Amino acid sequence: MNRVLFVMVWWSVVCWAPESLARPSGPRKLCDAYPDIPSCTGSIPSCYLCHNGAPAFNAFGYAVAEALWADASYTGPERYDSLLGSALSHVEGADSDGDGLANLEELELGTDPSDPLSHEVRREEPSDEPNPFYDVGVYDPRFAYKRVMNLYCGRPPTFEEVNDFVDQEDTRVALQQRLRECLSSSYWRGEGLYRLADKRVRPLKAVGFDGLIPLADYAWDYRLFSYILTDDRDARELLRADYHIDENGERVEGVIAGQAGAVIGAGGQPLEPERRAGMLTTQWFLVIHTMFSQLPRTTAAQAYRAYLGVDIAKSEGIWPVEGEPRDVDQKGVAQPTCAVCHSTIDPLSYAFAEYEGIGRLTSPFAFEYSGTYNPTRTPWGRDSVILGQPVADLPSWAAVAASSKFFQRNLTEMFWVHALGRKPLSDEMNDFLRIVESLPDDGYSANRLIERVVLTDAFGVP
Amino acid sequence: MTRLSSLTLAGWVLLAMSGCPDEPGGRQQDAGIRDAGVPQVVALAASAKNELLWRRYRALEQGLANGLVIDESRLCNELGRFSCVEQVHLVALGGNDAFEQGLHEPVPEPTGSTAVAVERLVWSACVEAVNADAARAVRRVFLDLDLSEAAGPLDLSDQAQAWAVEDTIRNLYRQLHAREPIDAERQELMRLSTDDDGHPLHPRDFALLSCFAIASTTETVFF
Repeated sequence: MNRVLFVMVWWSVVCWAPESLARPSGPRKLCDAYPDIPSCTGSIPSCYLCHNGAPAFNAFGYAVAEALWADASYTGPERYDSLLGSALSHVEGADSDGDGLANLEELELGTDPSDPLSHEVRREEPSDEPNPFYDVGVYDPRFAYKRVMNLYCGRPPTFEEVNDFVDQEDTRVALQQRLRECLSSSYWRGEGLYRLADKRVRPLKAVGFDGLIPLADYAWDYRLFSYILTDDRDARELLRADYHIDENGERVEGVIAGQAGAVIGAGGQPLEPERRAGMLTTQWFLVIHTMFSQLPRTTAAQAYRAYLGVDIAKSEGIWPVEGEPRDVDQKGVAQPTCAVCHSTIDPLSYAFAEYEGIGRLTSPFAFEYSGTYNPTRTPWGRDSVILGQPVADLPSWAAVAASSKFFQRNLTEMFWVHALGRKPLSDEMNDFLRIVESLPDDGYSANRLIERVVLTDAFGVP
Repeated sequence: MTRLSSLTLAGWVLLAMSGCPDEPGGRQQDAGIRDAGVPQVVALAASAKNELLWRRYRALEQGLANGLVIDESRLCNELGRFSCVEQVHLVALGGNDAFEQGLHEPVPEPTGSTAVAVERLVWSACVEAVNADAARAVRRVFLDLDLSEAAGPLDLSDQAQAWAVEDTIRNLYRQLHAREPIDAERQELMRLSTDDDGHPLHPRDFALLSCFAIASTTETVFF
C-alpha cells in the first residue's frame, strides 16, 4: 500500500509541478522593460537576478513568478516573453528581500533585490576637528596624487615630489599632468598593463614560446594589448587590429613567419591581415583556447568574458538565438538544461570554427598551421550571431563586439577595478556609467578613461 | 621589541587619523590604544568611506628601495638567491604569477601571510640600508649617526648625537612616508635609543630599529 501511495505521489509531483520558469530570454526581456538600469547598461543581468541556481527562485524571482502565475492570461511558457514585463511592473513596489528598498529602487541603484545585505548605505558627513592630513569628505588632489603615483607610476611619491605638488597653483592640473607622465612610463606600459592583460591572455609558460612544448608566443599578445591601451589609441583596436607589435614596439604588418628554427611553426603570426581580429586571432589565443575543438566554445566564451565582460559560465550575457542550439557537433547541448546557455554560446562560437587551434600533425613531431584560417574546417563558420546580430565571419563578430556598449562598460570596469580594487558602489554608479558613455567622445582612449576615473570622488575623496 | 609594538600602534593611530573610522561614519575611537604609551590623539575628522588601497608588490618594493637608497635587487632574497618580491612572497605581497602558477589575477585583499611577508621584506631592506649607509662617506638615510662598529653607545646628553637621532627619525619619515613625523611619533621613536632596561643602544642598532619601526607601519602597506 505504501509503495502504491509513493508512486502516486511521485507521479503527481512529476505531472503537476509548476513548470520551471528558467527562461534564457528573461534577462533580455528585463532589459527591454528597464533599459536604463545599471545592469542593462552595457550588460545583461545574470540568471542569478531571479534564481539561486535555476530553476530554484530567489526572493525576487519568486515574487516575479507569483505575479506571472497570478496573471490569468499566463497559459504557459509560450506567453512568458510577452507577460514578463507586466509581472515585473507588478512587483516594482514590493521589497522582496526586506531591506527597506523597493525592488525597482534596487534595480535602479544596481543593488540586488533578492539580497538584504545588498543595499545602499548613506555615508555620514565627516565630523570632529579638521584633519590636517587629508581633506576628508571632499576631493583631495594630494590624496589622489599619492594614489596616482602608486597605481600608474608603480612607486610612491618622494617627499620632494609631494611638496612640489602641493605648491602648484592648480593641483588638479598638476595631477592630470603627472597622470599623463605615469601612463607613458615604462612601468605602466611594461608591467601595469601587462598584469591587466594576464587574465585576458591566459599565458602558460610550459607551452609558451620559451617553454618545454612551444605552441605559440604570447609575448605578441602582451605587446599588442599594451600598445593599444597607451598613447590615446583607439581601444577598439583590441578587437579590430590587423597588425602586431614587435619587440621594439614597432607595428608589423602582414603575415609574420614563425621563429627561425622553431620545430612546430610557432612564434609568429600566421594569419593574413584581413582575417585578423586583434587579440582574438593571435596564434596564442586560438591555440590555447580552441586547441582541437571543432566548435570552439571555450574560445568564444573567453572572448565574451575578457572583452565584453560577461561570463557564460556564470550565467551572464545570456542572449539566446532562435533555433539554437542546433547541436552541430552532437554534444547533446540541445537538452533543455544545456540549451539555456548553449542557445547563446553556440552561435557565438561558429565564427571561431574557421580558425585552427593547435594545427594539423604534419610529422611525428610537428604541428603546423596553428592559428591559421581554414574556411573548410567546419560548415558552420558563417552562422554566428553576437548580441543579436548575425555576422558572416570573425572580423565582423569582433566589429560588432568592439562597437557595443558591452565593450565600453568592460573596458571602464577593468580600469575602475584596477584603480579602486572593487566594482562601483551604488552611490558611485552614476559616475561610473558617465565614464562608460563618454568613451566614444574620448576616442576610446584608455588614457582619457583612466583620467576620468582618477577625477571621480570615488578615487579622490578620502 | 615592546617598543616596536608600541610604534606599530603609533602607526595605527596615524592611519586612523588619516581615514579609517572604527565604525561606518563613526567617530574615531582611541581608547583601546592608550595603554601602549602612545600620546592621546585629538579626535580628527575621519573619512566616512573607510577605504584604503593596498600598496602592492612593485610600489612597495620601489618605495623601500628608493626611500632607503638601496638597489632593489638587494632588497630581500631568500637563501640569498630567490627574490622575495618577484618570487617567494609575490602573492602575499599582492602580485600574481600567470605564467607558471596560472594565477591570472592577484588576490583582492591582503592574505594571512601578508603582514609576515611585509615585515620580512622591511627587515631585510633595513639591514641592507644600514650596511649600505655605513659604507658611504656621506650618509643618505641615517644622516649624522655614527654607524661604525667602533662607535660607542648613543649619548643623548651630547647635543650632536641627539640631533643626529632626531634628524634620522625625520629623514626616515620623509624618505618612507613623504611627510614629517608628528610629535607623538618622534617622541616614541626617541625611546628606541635605549633598550628596555634603559641602557643606551649602539647607533647602528638604533638605526635598524627605527628604520624597521617606521617602514613596517600600516602606512607603508595602505594608501
